Amino acid sequence: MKKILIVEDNEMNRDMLSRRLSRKGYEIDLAEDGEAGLAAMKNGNPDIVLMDMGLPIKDGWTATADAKANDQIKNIPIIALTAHALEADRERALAAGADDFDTKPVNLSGLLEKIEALLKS
Amino acid sequence: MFQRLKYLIFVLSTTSNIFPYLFLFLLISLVVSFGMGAYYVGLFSPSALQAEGINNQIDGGFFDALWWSMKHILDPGALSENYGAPPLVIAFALFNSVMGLIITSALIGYIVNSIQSAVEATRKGTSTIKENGHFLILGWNRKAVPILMHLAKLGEKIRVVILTATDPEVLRSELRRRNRSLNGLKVLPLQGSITSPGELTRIALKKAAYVIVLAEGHGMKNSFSDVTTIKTLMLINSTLNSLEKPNVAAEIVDTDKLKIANLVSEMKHPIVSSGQIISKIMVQCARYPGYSGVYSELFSIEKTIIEILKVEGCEGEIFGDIATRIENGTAIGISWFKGDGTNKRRVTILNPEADFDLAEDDEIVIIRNVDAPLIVNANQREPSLLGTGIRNNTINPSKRPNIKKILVFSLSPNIGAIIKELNEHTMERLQVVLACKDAGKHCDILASQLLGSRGEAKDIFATQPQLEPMEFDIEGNWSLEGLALSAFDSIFVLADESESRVDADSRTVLLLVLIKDLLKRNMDTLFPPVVAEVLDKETLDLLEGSPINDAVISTEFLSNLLLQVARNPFLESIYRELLNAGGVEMGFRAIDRYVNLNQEIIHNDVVRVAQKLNETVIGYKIFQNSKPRIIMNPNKNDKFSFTNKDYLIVLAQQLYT
Repeated sequence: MKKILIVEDNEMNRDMLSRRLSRKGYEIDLAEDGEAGLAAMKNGNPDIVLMDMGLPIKDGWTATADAKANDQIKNIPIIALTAHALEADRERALAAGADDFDTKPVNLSGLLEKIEALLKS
Repeated sequence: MFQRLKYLIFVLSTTSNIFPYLFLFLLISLVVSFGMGAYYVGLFSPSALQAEGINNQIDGGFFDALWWSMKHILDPGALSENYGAPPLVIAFALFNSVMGLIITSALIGYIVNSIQSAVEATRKGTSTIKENGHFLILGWNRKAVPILMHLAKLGEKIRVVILTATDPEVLRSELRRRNRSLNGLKVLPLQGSITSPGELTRIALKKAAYVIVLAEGHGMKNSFSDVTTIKTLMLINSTLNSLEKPNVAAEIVDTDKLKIANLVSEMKHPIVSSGQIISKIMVQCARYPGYSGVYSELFSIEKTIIEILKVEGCEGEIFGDIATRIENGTAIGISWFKGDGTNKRRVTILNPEADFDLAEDDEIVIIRNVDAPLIVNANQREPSLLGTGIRNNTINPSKRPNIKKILVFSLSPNIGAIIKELNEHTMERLQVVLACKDAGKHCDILASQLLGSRGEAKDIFATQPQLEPMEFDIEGNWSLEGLALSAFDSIFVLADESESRVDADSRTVLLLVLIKDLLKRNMDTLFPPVVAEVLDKETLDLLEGSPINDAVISTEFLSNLLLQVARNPFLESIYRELLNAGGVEMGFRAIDRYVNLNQEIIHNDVVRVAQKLNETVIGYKIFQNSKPRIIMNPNKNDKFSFTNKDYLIVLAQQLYT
C-alpha cells in the first residue's frame, strides 16, 4: 500500500483529502505545518507528499525547498496544493522544487492521475 | 466551669444546626422538672387543690405534677389560678410562668430568624438547586440576557439556573426589565463562585442538560475573566469525568487564552473565543458588505438549524445527487466518526466536491428551517424545463475581495485579531490607519503584539502590516476634515470600552454621525464600506440612516453562537471553518456567472450549476425595491428571476486570485 503524506493546516481539507484517498487504497499520514511535514517526511517514509503552500510556522514553499535540499528525502515526490490560482503561483511552487502542482479545491480524478504518474516515475 | 459550659454552647451552636432545638428542649425539660418540685411544697394540699381547681386528678402524683408544671410554662395565664394557693406553690408557678415566657420568646425568635434566613438565602441566591435537565449559565455578562431571550423564543420548558459572583439583585432587575421578551422563562439567579467545587454541586451540574460558561464580569474587555473560565472548565472536567451529559460550551475573551482553554477541556467541549469570532465576522463583513444579514440568518437559533441527517442507503451515491434530493434543506457537508473508543471524534467537512462518493457511515450536514420538517425525495431531481436560463460560461473564477488599506476608529481589544485576520486574506501589505486617543502609543503596542504572534499565523505573503497613527479623540479635539475616506478599502468602527464612563455604543453612534456628515459633503466621491460593531441590539434603531454597510451586534451573534454550540457541539467546527481565512468560506457571487438574468429559473438548477464549480448554494441576496433581502435555504422548487444586482450566497474554497 502506497503511503501519502498530506501536509495541510486546514482541518477540514485534511479530513476531506485523507478520507477520499484512503478509500482509494492509500495509506495516509498527516502533518499540520511545514516543519511537522518535514519531520514526517524524514521519519514516516512516505511515497509521495501533498503539500499545501499556505502553512503556518514554515510555509509550503520553504518546506518544499528544504526537502529538496535534504539528501535523505529529496527523492520523495511533492505535489504542491494551493488556493492561489494564478500562473505565477504555479511557477513559484515548481521553482521551490515541487514535482507537480494542483489548485484547491482539488479535482480528485485529476489529482489521482498526478499521484499515479509520479509514483510510477 | 461556667466558662467551659459557655464555650461548649458556643461550639455546639456554631457547628450543629439542631443545637438550638435541642437546647430549647433541654431547657423546657429542666424547667418542667423544676416546676414538678411544687409537689413537695404542697401542690396537692387541700388548699392548693381548691385554689388551683385541680379536681380531676390523674394520679395525684407524677403525671398531675408534670401536667401542672407544663401548663404553667406554656400558658402564663394559668398563674391567675394560683390565687389562694400556698406561697411556695405560687413561687414555683411564678418561676415556671416567667421561664415559659422566656422560652416561648426564644422559640418565636428562632423561628422568625429561620424564616428570615430562608428569605435572605433566596434573595442572595444561596439556595441549593434540586433540578434535573436544567440549563446552567455560569458567569454573567451582557451576553447572558440575549441567551435567555433566544431560549425563551424557542419556547422550550426548561429551567435556567445562573450562578455568578454578581449580586442577584442586579440580575433580577435586568430580568425584570426584559420580562416581556423572556416570555415566562423560569430563571433562578444564584450568587456564588463558579470556580468552587461545592458551588457546582449546589447547582446540580451533573444533572444539567446544557452548560454555558460565560466570561465573568464585563465579558468584552476583561481578559482576567478568562482565568476564571479556564479554572471552571478544569472543575467541570474533573466533576463530569466521563459523563456524556451535559453539553458544555465556554466563552473565552482573549484569543491568546484559547489554546490553554482547549488544552484544559481536553477538546471535549467547544470553546468560543468571542474576540476572535467578532474579529472574523467584522472582517468578512468588510470583504462582503451585507454579510451581517447572512450571519444573522445562519446563526439565528429561531430560524435556522444546522443538523446532521442520516440518509438511508446513501452508500455509493455521490454528494451532489443527495443534495438535490433534499427538497427543503441545503446539504452543506458530510460528517462521520473517526477513530474508536476514547479517541472517537466526529469529523465534519463542508462543501465537499459534488462527486464525493459516500460511504455507509457518512451522514449529511444540512441547513433547514426550524419550522419545517425535512423532505428527502427518494430520487434525485431531473434537470427542469426551465433550465434554459443556465449559463455555461462558468470557468473563470469569480473576483474575490482584496482589502489593502483600512481605517480603524476606536480602541478595542479586538483590533489585533482583526488586523491578523485581514492580513491572512490579503495578498499585499496591509495598511492600517488607527484613529484613536494616543494613537501613536497604541500603534506601537499593536505593532509589538503583531510581531510577537507572527509565528502562530500563516505568513503566506511574508508581510507585516504597516500601522499609521491618527490622533482622534471624540471627547476632545477632533476633526475628520481633510481625511480622504475614499483612499481606504474599508472603514471599521469598533465598540470602544476603554473608558467606562462613556458608553461604547453612544460613541459609535456619534462617530457614525460624523462620518455621515463627511459623506454628505462629498457626495461625488466613492466611499468604502463602513462596518460598525455595536453591543446592544437596541442601538440599531439609532443607526437608521447612518452610513454603515454592516452593523455587527457582537452580543447578539455571540449569544446565538454559544447557545447553538451548547445544544449541538459539532457546530463549533462548522462556524469556525466558515469564519476562518483559507479553507471553505461563505461568499457572495455575482448571479450572472451562473444564470442568465431576467429569466425564470428554479433553485435546483442553480444548485447544479454551482456544483460544477465546487460551490454549495445556501441562499440569495436579492434586491427588492432597492433594498437587499437575504433568502437562506430556499426550497429546490422555488422559482427566481434575477437582476444584475442580485447575488448567490455560496460555500466555496477560498481562492487567492
